[in-house]
Amino acid sequence: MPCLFVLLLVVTSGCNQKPVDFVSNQLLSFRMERELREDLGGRSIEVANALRFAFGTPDLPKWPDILVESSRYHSLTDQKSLARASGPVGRNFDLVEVGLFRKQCAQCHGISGDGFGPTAALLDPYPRDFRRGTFKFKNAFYGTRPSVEDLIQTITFGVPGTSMPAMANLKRSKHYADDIPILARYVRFLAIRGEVERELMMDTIRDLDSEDVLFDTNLQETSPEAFKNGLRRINEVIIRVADRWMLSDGLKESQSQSPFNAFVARHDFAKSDLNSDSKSMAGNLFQESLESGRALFEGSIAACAQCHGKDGTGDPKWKDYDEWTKDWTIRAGINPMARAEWKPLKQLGLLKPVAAFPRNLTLQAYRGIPTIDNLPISDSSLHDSLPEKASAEETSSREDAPVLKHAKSSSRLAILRAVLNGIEGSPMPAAALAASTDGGLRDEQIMDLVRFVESLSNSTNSAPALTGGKAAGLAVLMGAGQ
Amino acid sequence: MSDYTASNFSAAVSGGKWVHRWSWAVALTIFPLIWVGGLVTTQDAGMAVPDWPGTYGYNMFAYPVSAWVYGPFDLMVEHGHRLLGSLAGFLVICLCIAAWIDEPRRWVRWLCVGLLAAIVAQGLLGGARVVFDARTLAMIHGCTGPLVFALAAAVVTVTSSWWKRDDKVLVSRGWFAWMTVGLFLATVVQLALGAQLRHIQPWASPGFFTSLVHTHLTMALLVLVMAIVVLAVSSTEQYRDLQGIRGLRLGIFGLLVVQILLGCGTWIANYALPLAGSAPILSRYTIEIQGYWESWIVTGHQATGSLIIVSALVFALRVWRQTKTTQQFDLSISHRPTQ
Repeated sequence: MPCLFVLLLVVTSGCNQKPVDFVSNQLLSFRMERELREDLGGRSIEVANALRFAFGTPDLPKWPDILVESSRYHSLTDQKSLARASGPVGRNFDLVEVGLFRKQCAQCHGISGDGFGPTAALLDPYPRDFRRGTFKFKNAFYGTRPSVEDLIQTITFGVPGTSMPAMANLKRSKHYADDIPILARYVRFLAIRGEVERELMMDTIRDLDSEDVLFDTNLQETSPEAFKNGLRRINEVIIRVADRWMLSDGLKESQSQSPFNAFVARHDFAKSDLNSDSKSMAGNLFQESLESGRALFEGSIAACAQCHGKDGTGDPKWKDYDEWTKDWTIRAGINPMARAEWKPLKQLGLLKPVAAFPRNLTLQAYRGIPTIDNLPISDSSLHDSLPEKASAEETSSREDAPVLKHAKSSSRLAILRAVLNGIEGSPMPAAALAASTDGGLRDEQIMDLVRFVESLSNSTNSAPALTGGKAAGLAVLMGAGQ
Repeated sequence: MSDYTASNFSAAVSGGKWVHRWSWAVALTIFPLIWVGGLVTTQDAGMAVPDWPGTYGYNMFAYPVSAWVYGPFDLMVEHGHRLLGSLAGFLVICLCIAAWIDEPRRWVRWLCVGLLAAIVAQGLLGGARVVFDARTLAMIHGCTGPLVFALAAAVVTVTSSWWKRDDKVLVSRGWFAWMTVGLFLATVVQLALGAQLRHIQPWASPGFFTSLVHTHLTMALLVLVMAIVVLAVSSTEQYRDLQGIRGLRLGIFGLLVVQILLGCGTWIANYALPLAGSAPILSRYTIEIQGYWESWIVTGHQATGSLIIVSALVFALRVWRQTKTTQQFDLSISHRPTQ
């Protein structure tokens, strides 16, 4: 036994010692190689070196010097959050927990935030790849980056019907209370790093002559001028990407310009729900509103029925791919439906292309709750109806209070946001609005449309939302999940 | 195993009562230890205490109670696991002392010493996991834990008065007896696969993880089929008179059913409900990190796995105790004492 034990130690003790590094975006390299018709192997290494110089490694990440130097970017993330979220899971001698990202996120999202963690292939939908900077659930404009509050909201309440868990439980204990904001900042760090990699691969190397070197730390001594030029190019990209993220960060005046935020600021519509509307709207107004909503749903302006079907169950014939999949398939000249074309890319980090079908709106399962912190509204009743306002006592006394509240109270906000802002990355577009487009939807028509969508699932309103262990426990009792 | 003679038989039956009692104490301590160890993995708390054998610079036993009971949950679980492990080690030392005093069979005494060596090695492995911060060692620690539990259960079995009684009707040992060993080994392999899944490194490829999941599911099916065959054969006329396996048979079957349900629950608790788009109740299900029931289900799946290993081993031991090869039958007939 002791001999066996010693043998075991000798054989295995070195297993974890290899340095961990971020994984390069090989699918993007592949796409660029096809586009530029040249071998980018050397350029990929230069980009990887540049990223390591600017952003460090998963064990020792760093906030790029250029962003540290300017206080303007300090709100994006900070070195302390990076230190807490990165590295192996554990606690330091001062009891501070580290490795939060590997503990909670990396199994699915991957150590680089590329959505290629060990479990990824078995999940539906696939875990999000942060490196495009594209996130579905946010209050801001289509095309802008999510605010830290948007990310916190998704992490806290999870995404129903997917493998993305709610981490609201962490808020209950003072020992884990700040984990979620730290994770959100680390997600942002990975996304910014991924976007910088993307821009370097897609834009910067295009402008380089074949003899130019993008970045090489060895040049620091042999050719300081060339090194400075390389660093300048990289810093320009970093600043450009960081500026995009700053637009959504704390700049509420910019946030309020998004169609969703502006609509919520103008109307009390978000305060009520379908049941209260049916009681408060006089005469036939309520029925007329639903009829108008139906006409819009089926008509050519909103054109919802085109994908979701007239009954809202989602037309399975209408399939499209999300932006993450299109990135390395359609845009790289690969047919996602031709297995022979995409299968060789599996070794580069490809997951089998899966079509994004229109959602079944009758299920009343709306993913992504709007973030109330960013909403330009002051009405306390609305805030009180939303999950973040669940009191500490309530949260601690009812295990699943926040998530249940989410399911019941924020459907209208979720529909409203999807209609007005669209769902970025998915085929769901933002509605054309009268304020910006001739023949676009007016505010009243938006309300009619949202009421009608709510009514599609009204028959299922009585079904309670299952959360967490209750569902798993039920499955155990009933033998579900087979 | 069947090295009794008429002269030492009565001594063997009357001796070793305390050994049996201590062995029960050991087994009953190791089972919760397995649970807490599983909770350490579920909570990813293996490095919640960064040093070993001390705890944050303190002697492990002198670490202030308030600091770990009211501290972060992961710290409480990890430190509790260490303390419970120490208690199990202490009880095994008592068992060895009792065996050396009270147990007439030399091989049983050495079996107890073997258990002590195993539990010490298991503790050192856990310590090495912390010192080297090596997840691979944690996985091995998770695999060997149930084997130590199985060894403790073996000591309980061979020190029982049932084992020592010489009134058993011996039947022929055929492929059935070997099948019971096969079932035990299959459960061990299945546990090792499960441990791989639980300790997967975040940089492992999706293809590797997917293969592991498929292998784990296939192995589950194999264990189920083997168990059904073993349990069915043990009910046939040839083996109907075997003692001490009827209840165990039901127990193993019940544990397998529970384990399959817990396996489904574990998947749901970790990765969501399947066919989420098919019904409102499914599509609105949200997994909770560190949820109460999630932790119980996931950890229970691992702990039930160790119970199945132990049950399969005890079943095999009891079957082997009551079977003999054809040569042994011939020998026992030719050496039968004449009265």
